[in-house]
Amino acid sequence: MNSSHENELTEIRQKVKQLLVSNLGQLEMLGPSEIKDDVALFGEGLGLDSLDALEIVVLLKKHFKIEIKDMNEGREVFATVDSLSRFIQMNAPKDGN
Amino acid sequence: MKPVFIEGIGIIFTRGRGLNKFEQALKDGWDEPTVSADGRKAYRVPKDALIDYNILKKVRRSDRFSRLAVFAACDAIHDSDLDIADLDQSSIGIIIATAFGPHATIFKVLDDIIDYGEKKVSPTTFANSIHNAAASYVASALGCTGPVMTTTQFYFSFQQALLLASSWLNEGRLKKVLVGIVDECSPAMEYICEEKLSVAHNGKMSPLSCLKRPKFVPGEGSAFFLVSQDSRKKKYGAFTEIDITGNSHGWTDVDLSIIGTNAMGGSEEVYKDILNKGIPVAAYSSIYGGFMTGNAFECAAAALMLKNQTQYASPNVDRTELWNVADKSKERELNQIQCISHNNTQKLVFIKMTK
Amino acid sequence: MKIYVTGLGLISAAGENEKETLTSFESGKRRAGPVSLFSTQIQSPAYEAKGFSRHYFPEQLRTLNLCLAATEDALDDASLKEEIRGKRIGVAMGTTVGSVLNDINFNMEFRDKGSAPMDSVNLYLEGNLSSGIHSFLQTEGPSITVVNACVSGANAIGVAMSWLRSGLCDIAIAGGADELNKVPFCGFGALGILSDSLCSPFDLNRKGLNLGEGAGVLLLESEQSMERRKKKPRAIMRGYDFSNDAHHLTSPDPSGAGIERAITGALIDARLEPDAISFINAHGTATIDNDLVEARVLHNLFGSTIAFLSTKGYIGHTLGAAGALEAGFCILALEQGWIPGCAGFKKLDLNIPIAPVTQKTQIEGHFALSTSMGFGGCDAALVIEFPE
Repeated sequence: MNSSHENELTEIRQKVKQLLVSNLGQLEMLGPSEIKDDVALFGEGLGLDSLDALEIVVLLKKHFKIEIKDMNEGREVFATVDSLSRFIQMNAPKDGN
Repeated sequence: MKPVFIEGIGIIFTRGRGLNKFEQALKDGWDEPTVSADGRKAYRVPKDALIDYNILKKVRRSDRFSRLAVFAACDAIHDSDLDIADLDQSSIGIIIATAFGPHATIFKVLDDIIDYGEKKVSPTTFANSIHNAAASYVASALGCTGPVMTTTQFYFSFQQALLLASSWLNEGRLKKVLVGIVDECSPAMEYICEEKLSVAHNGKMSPLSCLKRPKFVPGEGSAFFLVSQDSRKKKYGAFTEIDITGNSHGWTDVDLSIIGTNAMGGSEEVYKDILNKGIPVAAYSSIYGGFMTGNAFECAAAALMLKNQTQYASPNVDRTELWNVADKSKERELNQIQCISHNNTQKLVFIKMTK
Repeated sequence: MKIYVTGLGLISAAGENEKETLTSFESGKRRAGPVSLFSTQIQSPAYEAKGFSRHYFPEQLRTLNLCLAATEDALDDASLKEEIRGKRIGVAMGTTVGSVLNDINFNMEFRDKGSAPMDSVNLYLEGNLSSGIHSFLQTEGPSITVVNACVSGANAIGVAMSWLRSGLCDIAIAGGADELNKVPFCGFGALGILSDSLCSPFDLNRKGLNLGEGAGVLLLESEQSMERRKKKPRAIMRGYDFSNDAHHLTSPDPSGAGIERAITGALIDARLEPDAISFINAHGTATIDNDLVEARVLHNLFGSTIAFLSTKGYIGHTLGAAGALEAGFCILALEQGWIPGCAGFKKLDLNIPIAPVTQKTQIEGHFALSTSMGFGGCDAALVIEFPE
């Protein structure tokens, strides 16, 4: 894996954390750097729920131009900051923000 | 009506959170309003008053509007002797009255539609933009599973909510009701106030001026009362009469009349005929700012005065020749106080409170 | 104390009056289609009150106009046209969009320029439902606009019952109204609960709700007032209760404890056992969660043979009007002796232990139950009696 790929992923992780913190409430009590890359976002872990899942779907549309059509697909993708970030890296249109 | 006793009060306003802050403000009198980045003056609730992680962790998604309500509601319970854990949680009802609702959050939903399109609206923001989101957060924060209701009107919202609370208690539907108000300032609302009302650019509301367009500074906040018909639990006196007919001239057996000034109703001239010169009159809205549901703040002030047997000076009344103004803070025998408010058709609504 | 219904006004996509509504119910006709009231990119059929054109206030105040039209119909029905000015009449109305300043153009202009015309603000200030009705009719008495999301209409009727029982008024105008509006349309879309096809309450393949619009208004009256006017009641509001889940902002408590408490409380208020209920007009929005939770509770309380339906397949989800319209539909059903089939239901969901009626069904007995569940964890139930 080349380093520019890794650098991009690190940037995406940072942005994902920032978006989660500023859009999902509660998390504002943590700084973005305090959400670990591999902590479970739902259930045990951060304890996010179905409304947060919907919010993440909209955040992906707004900020990465990615559509999640099937929430079953979402379940795996939304597991951790890391899985979410890798999914974004693979799927975001390259010209997109 | 059967007396409705006040067991606890919670309040959040421009000088912070807590009844003791409100009491101190009544003692201290008028102060400068806050000034926003665009230079507008308003009595806004400071940011640091809205941080309390013990409460926020139960309502993490709440917007600013809801937080105002949640903090005041929790404080009203805390102020009473009630241990909510000991209570049948469905035996307590909640009524929240608001004039303008979570309008700042509604504007955020509109922002999403404008900036990102109809299919990219934040579901959380939309959920928070519904009028009863605040009540839902209050119920969650307190674990209340009884009736929870949000009501909205521009005039007399609090009075109508209080009347409904009293009906619920009369029916035996509930043992206790947490009844309160919440309203919020926002740049849009401050702009609307400036367009529609006469904003006091020196920051001084001058109540009882009888100007056609009274000088006004917008305010915001939330106040809650935990009430019941159980006299043993009384901490601050009681609401003993509510007259919403619009035909009344109020009561002559009171020791003080508090006028609610919100400027939307226009001149206070309407009170001249009904206020008995012998009864001192006061208006406190220049302390917390003007807003349509601020009548709850006047009731909180009355409750404190009845408890403390102290009259607080009515600040910023210039036209002392027109009224017998309660212009000095002093210890005084206070048995009954009436809180009066008017609307744009000169209709008057009264609440009587008794020691 | 008995509270009587002496007048009814019902406006929805199913019809602008009772006759049209009954015709829709009888024929199973579903008058939904693409949104015509505003432009939108969201594909979801809507139940508009097509052809509604009664204006008492500016046309833009559609919710208030719907509300006042239904109020006039209810007053007519109760023969209370002329003699109400200055009377001790309460007004309790439920709504969601009727009390919201949500003008997109105002917001856009204010954001861009720091100023905007006051037209939409002025309309908003004029548009509060109960205040608008009070000032139009020049009645006196208590007045409340309930904004309890989808339960508002049922709650408004409950508020009026409390007032009458407490002696605060002799007559109350109670109900709810909502127009189809772009902002909640987008919002429900964001919550992922709008169906892109016609809604199917309690069905295995239900995909969400369709929004609708309309107004339902009941004229409630104390016994003394009704006797004084020598008026015959159409129904008796026998019981009411409501509760809160204290669980989640947008999802119902999966245990159904809240709606169960509301139904049980309403039955206690009505002094009735569950087996006295002839049929249930369920909330039945056709969202996955609502129908699952609600049907399980109905099964628990009323067993597997209870006749029930959701009328949302005829009128869509009319939000603040829903509870009031549906209480009105219960009165029609008690009078007619039948309930319509649950439009949109085809196939049983194995997770749901009971099925709604699929066709026009005769009912016997005197008591109906109407349930409402909503955003913010609100639950309400009304028990309605057909007088002997």
